[in-house]
Amino acid sequence: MMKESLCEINNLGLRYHRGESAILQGLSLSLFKGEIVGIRGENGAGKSSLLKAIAGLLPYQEGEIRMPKEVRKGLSYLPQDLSLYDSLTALENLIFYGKIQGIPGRLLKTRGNWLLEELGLSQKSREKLSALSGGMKRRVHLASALMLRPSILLLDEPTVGCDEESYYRIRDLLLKMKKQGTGMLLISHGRGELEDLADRILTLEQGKLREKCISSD
Amino acid sequence: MKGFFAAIWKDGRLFLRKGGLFILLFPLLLFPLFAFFFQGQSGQMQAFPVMVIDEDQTIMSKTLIREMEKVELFSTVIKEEGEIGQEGREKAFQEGVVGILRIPKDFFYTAYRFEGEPVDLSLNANRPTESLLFQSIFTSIMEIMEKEQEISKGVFHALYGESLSKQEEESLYEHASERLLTAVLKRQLVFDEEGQSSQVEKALSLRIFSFIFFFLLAFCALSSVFSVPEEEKKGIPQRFALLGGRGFFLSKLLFLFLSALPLLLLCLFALQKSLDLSLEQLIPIAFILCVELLSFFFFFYQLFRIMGEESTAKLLSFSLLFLGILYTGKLFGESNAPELVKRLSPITVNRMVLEGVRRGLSFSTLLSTALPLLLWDALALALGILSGIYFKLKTFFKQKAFSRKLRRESKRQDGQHGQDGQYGQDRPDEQYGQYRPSGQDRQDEQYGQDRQDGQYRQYRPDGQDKSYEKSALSFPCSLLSLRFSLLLGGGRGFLLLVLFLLSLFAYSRVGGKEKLSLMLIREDQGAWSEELIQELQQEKGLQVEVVENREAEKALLEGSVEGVLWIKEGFTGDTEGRGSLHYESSADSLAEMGIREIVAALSSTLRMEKGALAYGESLLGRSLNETEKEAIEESIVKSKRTEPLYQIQELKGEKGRSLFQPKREAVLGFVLYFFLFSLGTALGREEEKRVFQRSRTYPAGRIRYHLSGILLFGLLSLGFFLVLEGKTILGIEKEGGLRLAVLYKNLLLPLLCTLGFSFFLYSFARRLSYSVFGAEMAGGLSLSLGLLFSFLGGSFVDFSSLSNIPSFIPYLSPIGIYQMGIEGQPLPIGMLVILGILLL
Repeated sequence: MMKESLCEINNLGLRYHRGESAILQGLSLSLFKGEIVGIRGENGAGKSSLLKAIAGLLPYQEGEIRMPKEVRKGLSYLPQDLSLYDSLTALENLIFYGKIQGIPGRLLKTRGNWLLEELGLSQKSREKLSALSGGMKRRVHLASALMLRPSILLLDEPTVGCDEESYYRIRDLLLKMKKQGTGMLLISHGRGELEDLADRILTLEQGKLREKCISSD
Repeated sequence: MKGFFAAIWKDGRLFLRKGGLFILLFPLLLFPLFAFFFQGQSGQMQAFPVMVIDEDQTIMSKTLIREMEKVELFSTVIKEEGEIGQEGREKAFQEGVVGILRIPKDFFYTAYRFEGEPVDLSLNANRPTESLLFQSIFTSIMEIMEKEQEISKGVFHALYGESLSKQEEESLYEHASERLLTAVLKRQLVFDEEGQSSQVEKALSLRIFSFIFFFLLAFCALSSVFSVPEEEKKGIPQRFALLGGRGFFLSKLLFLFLSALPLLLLCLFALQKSLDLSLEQLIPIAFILCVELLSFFFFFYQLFRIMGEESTAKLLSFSLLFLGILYTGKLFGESNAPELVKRLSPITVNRMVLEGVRRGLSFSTLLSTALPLLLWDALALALGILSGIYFKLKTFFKQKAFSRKLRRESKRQDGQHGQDGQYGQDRPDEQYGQYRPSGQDRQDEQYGQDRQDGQYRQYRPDGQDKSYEKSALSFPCSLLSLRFSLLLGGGRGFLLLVLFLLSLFAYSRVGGKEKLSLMLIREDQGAWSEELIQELQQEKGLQVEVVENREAEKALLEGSVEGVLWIKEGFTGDTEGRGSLHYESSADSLAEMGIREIVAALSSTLRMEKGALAYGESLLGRSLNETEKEAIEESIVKSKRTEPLYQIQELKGEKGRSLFQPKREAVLGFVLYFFLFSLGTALGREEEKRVFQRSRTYPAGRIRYHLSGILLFGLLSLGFFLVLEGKTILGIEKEGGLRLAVLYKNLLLPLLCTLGFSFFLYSFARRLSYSVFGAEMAGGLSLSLGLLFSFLGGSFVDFSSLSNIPSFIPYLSPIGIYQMGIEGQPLPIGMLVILGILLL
């Protein structure tokens, strides 16, 4: 069955400053509904830059990124660095991101609590983020990206520094999202993580992608 | 010492990273500005013109005018020979005249018959200080004249009968004129020549220096402790000690002195030049300032330790310093802070020490003046004890909680562990039951599917979510509480804000000083001094207190009185009235002349009263018997005027221009700048940057993020506005009614300007901390930039009084532009709003 395409990237070229060598060049990629595409590569290969370009945080100089309007509205980006407030509680952080995404008030707590429960953090919902362990923070971080069910999820090392439990909880939730039709671009250095989750693994080398297919559903 | 130099190096780097450089540079910037602005200006109260309409045209009236021309405070005495009418008066006031004195025809002749018109004094109500002074001088002369009338008429009638012959009348007027002239011309001779006059120019310098010393020392000390909460939290001092390092705390102290002393020396050099002090005189000042620096350091160090969080501790510290400047710095005019607060303020102490050095007080006296500085050390000690107790209790309860948890865990573990050892399989506490390394999902729940309560309907496996995106404008209120909590630090920040607003509200209730305060020292115990004191206490414009020497000297140092009057021994019985009073004015008193006139007049009239019998004897050429004495005394009482000799009216005219004239709106502008800028710089923290970056990826996320912040700033600014200006607006509403023009000018325009200003501050502060300096460095700028912009904006100084200042200077300052908006020029505020949009 023909899968629905969520995002088409054609000949993407990106450099930070004029005159510098390209971070990405001639990069082409398609993402389909319910697909997890893994991206790996050396440090500084441009993996994070690719995600930022798709998210609209980095301007690109060549090529195009095409996605339907509805898909773009449902894009959720999870950066590598934790973008949460230490002085807010876990739930408050989720509420904050829910509000930023325009979710009405009555749904915020409900969704937030559900996500925390899914990720095994229901006991920690009222604790300040600064009091949580690294793995727990990562889980809250992921949850903040899921307050509005995303059509595309861009994940930059979502499990870095996580303990085993946190890893499995995140993994399971991502697999559920995949079943719901969310397409994901996932960057990871974790041993076996991409193999565990991704349908396809791409390697970014010198600004270009090489593909390695892992599995088909 | 091992690690000591590493610690100093570390403190230096942190000091610079956290904005310490700006704090050091600020006084360097301020000095040239002051020198430039004040060069060639005396800073004294400007002389003002007065007008005399002399319809009398007699020797007496001309003598009076000549006396007025000698008064330095009157720049010009404009003479008119005929009545100019009400319109003429209003025109004169519009042109800058402060008072108009009209002497009717034959005044000095008919006054003794209790006939004729009274003298008419018109005053410009929009120049209250100058009007009061002119009124004092005028009424003192009139009081002398009234008393002279009483005495002369009383004596003549007593000696020559109720009906006087023409010759006797002529003699009465001749003698009375002579006596009046003598009394008027020699009235000021009652003061000895040793009294100290006010030196407003030097007082202004002292006020500025005392503020700059406070600012420099407090901020240097503050900058050196910014890193304390982070170090304590991360256990750096303990790790330093474990590695064998020594002197972690001492390094901060040493670095503080190394960084502050060069600037302090520079300031002392400027002080020495300004006040013409000797090097010996600088030593006690330097010593006391070092004590002050240490005291600040200890206090802020403990404060930051106990607060545990840099941002909240910074906000609290800045607020304390700001309130200190507001209440006791005299930069924004007088306030009604309790005397104790004023007395204990380091700015007051600095001022007293500098004034004491100027007056030549001894080192021990200066030290005792500086004792309130030790209060900061006492507070530091108290905070240290409190924090010690707090941390001990915290550790104790933490340990107890941990032991309880351990006991619970060990109970659970007894016989509860799964036999096959699979990961999480047999945990009865349900936490890990569902995580199977085999990767098998839970069977019982799918992603939101089986919730019966309808809560998660939106997560339908068929993927048909409702779109819940709302427009960016519909939500901002809902994010307010979170942004408030984030920027102000939750409950503590809210409490701080409330206390801050209450302090400002208390400040806003200040009215102007209505009475001039005067202290009296009674060295003469005779009846005359008793009577003089009673007369002075009955004077409407004076608030008089009889005190001891010590208290009076302290008051002069503090500047809390206009002056001190010594009634010297020998005052009683001194009919000549030469040097029997000693007056010392406070350095920044503007009303010295007024007080001297009031005292001189009362003293003169008292002597006239006491000298009435001697006058009678001189007329008769022999001693008076008892009957004659009684008759004279009775006659004097009967001769008291029932009709006033003069009348006073007030008219509105041009407002005065005084060089050093803090504007009331300046407080609002400065408060808004200081508070909102401090908050705005927090938007450049790494945490905020990451959140903002991520928010940008969501549709309308960026707008939502900004709108919530702008709304928060707007609400805070309205709060400050209502607290500081609400009372004034209500008063104007009552006067002006609800006319549209009045509403627009007094309410709508200021509100719009305030909102526009707050928007600019949000944008400006955020941009500076986000892209230019970083949050920490920008945070150090809030108070210093606020003061600089206040100065440039004309908050402390009326630039229109200075001819050498280009007119565009206030436009360089956002606070200046805001003040212009409040005063009725909204266009520049529009520029600020546009600039704010560009900076966003």
